[in-house]
Amino acid sequence: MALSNFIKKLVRDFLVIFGAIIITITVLRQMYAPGIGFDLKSIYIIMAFALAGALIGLIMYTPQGISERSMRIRIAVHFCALETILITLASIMGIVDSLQSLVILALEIAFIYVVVHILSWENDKQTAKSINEKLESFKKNLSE
Amino acid sequence: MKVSIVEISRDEDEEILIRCYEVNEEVQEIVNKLKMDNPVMLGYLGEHVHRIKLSEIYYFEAVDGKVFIYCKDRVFEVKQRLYELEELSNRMNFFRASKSTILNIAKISYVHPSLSGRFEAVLDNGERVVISRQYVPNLKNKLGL
Repeated sequence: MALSNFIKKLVRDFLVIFGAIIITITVLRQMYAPGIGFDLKSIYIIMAFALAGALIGLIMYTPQGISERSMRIRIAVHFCALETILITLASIMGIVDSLQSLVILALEIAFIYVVVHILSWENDKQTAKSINEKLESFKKNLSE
Repeated sequence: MKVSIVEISRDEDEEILIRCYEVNEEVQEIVNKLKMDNPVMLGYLGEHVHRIKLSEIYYFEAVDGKVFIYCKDRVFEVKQRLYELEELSNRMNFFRASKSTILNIAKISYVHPSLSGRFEAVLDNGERVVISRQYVPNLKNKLGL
């Protein structure tokens, strides 16, 4: 992917992550702690972590082709970086305050990460299936 | 238009010669069709130069600033750059599969997704070539999906 396109993606990811965090916290606070408001410090902390979350996308940026093994290592590193950032943010925001809640949050993040990858892979399988069907008829037409 | 065919010996180069009063649309169409039907590339293997039909090429790959042709079981170097080959092969059954490869659709057996989020094409000779996610739409376009 060209660098300019990657930067656009980075900015888009930052805005999506920032928006998602604000919306989630707003809804949760409305449900469980409606008296607590958003101060400027909280907004800056969320912005910083949204930026950090978007920046870890750099791990997956490969201007040159890389091997399958290297890609899988990068995915593992990406996952660990994501866990670290989210747990750190949760600690600062006071969402996790004990080892037990930290472990539960880590497991939840891991579960969501795996589910997202599985869903993406299932979608890719469907794409591959439609491509293979078309390939078959394409090659049949060529040989005729 | 009269059509003449002259069989020559193997030590002479094959040639198609069109004799016409003017190069009009009909003549241009014939020339274009001939170019499309018999495109060949010059591939270098050591000191030897080989004429390789585009239809026999499995894929092109750029490695360390050089571009190589991969046929069924042989590899040749070409003098063109990858972007030049992309323009040439867009007219044929080729598509850009990644930053460094151009793949011949006719040589793909099947594709499957890999765990790393990319796609892998298995070719007729058993070789596996990665198709980057961003270039999958190119393949789908070529197949009419």
